[in-house]
Amino acid sequence: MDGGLILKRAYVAAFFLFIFFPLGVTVLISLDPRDYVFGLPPSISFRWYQSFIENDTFVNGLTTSLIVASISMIISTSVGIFASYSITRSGKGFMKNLGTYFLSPLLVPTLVTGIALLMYLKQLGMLNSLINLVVGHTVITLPYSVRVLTAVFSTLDPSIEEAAMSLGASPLKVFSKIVLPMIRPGLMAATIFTFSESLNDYAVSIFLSDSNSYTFSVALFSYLKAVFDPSIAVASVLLMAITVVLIYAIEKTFGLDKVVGMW
Amino acid sequence: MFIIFLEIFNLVPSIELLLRRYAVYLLVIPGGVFLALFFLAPLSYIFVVSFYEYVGLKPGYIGGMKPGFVLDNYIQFFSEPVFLNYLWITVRIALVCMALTLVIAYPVAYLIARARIGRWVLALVMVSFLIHPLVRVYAWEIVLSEFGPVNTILEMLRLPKISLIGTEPAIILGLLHFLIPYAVLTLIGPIRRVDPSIEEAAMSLGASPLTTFFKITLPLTSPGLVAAALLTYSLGVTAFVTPLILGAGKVVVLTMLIFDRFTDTVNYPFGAAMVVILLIIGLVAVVLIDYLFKVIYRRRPVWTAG
Repeated sequence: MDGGLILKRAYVAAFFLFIFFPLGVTVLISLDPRDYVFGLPPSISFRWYQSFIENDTFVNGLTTSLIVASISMIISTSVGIFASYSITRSGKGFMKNLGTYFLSPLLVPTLVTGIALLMYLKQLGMLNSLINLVVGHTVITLPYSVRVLTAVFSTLDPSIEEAAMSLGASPLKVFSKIVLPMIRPGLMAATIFTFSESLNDYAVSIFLSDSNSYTFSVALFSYLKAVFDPSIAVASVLLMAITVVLIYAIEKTFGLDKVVGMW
Repeated sequence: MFIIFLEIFNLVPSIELLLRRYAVYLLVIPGGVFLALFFLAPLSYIFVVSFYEYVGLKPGYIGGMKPGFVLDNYIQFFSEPVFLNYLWITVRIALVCMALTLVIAYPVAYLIARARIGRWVLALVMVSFLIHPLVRVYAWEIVLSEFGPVNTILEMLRLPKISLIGTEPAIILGLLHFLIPYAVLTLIGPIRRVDPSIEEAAMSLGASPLTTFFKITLPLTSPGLVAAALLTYSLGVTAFVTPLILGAGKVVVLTMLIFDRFTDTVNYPFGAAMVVILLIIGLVAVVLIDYLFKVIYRRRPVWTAG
């Protein structure tokens, strides 16, 4: 029995080793003063961190990514609130199908969504890459916000809202004073979901970026294709740190166990 | 006249009531219209373009496409063995990844779902799931490189070096790194929903742990398993950066051909046709895998809980 337990623990540990060993190596590379890979770093240096900060491509990409992620996060969650409220509160045949409709971008690979938008927006004559990026990122993040928020709304008792309404509160007041405070944790989760999905996207971004506006992913991609450069390791460390922060935020606001299976 | 006015005045509350009653339906419009305009329409457009004619890159023709209805793009794809070979490589990599992912991820998900684990294990799974795809690819590029850690360890053990970059196993390793966490997260929920007392009952009635697993646990979690299989397969077929970087141009998959037709050797109609083919091979698998699991579990109607 004891041996079994050790075996089980070892199996899970091996899984985590497989996942985190390459990431740990990346952290070491980012601290290695040499510009080639060979064994452990002889000393620790922040040379590549310096060159990362001085790299315009990375800094521009990061700025664009933060702008695009923030705007699409705001649009996705606010549109998502209305849509999911509507879907859960009028849950009859047709509206139920609308739930599937809002999740449909998840069924299509983002690479395909990106290509489709590239051709479509070009045909429409929409050439502003920043706006196009926001549109594309809103398409891929909206399902996540709808998924989280419909789950949250379906746990709310509609009779509370009805009670407020029958006591004379206007719909707007009911929404701001009753509904919004109750869904706040879910709202936080939705914003974090959409933000991190936007940040993690590369497929849509690659097709919608140009030399004026490109996301961090696209900047990283162009470097990855070109040369071996340890400042990519620094970019990786930064992205890992952001991931950890976002997960910590989900745990604090919504609870990780509730999120499992929602992604 | 006055009476009509009064009637209208009387109607006002009922109009408000009507609005209140149906306002909830109206709220769905902004998102619905947005998705119709920027998701459904572009997606349909790609299907339409796949039947367009390629006229070369001339001014006035975006992506070299000329509206029409020809099957040239599909005929070109299916008549050249090169493309069919790339298609086969794409499917093969995705299938191998799917099988390996399920075999590796199921026990991990099971152990995590069944053990009373701390939040940090879940947090680690989430981190492993949410790491940026490009970060993973870069990490594996280093790990598998000529003087990278894998070869350093092999050298210390006095084993021959391996150079995996530019081979299918490298791509598969890189894909597993992001598919396994996906599958683990998909499987944890369904496994948790299986009441452990059912397994205990089977064991106490004399079933071996292995029999219990294959006759009880696996069938009961099969919907989750199907979901994980479909998810990993479709992610494997549509993976792009991992094959591109870890394949180092020596292994070509469908997504790389598609990317090329929209960026370097621009040919939108042919690219669109390949996108449609990509979507279809994903869809065919969905139907096949679903059917397969149905057949397996109908032939062996073991224990069904409720």
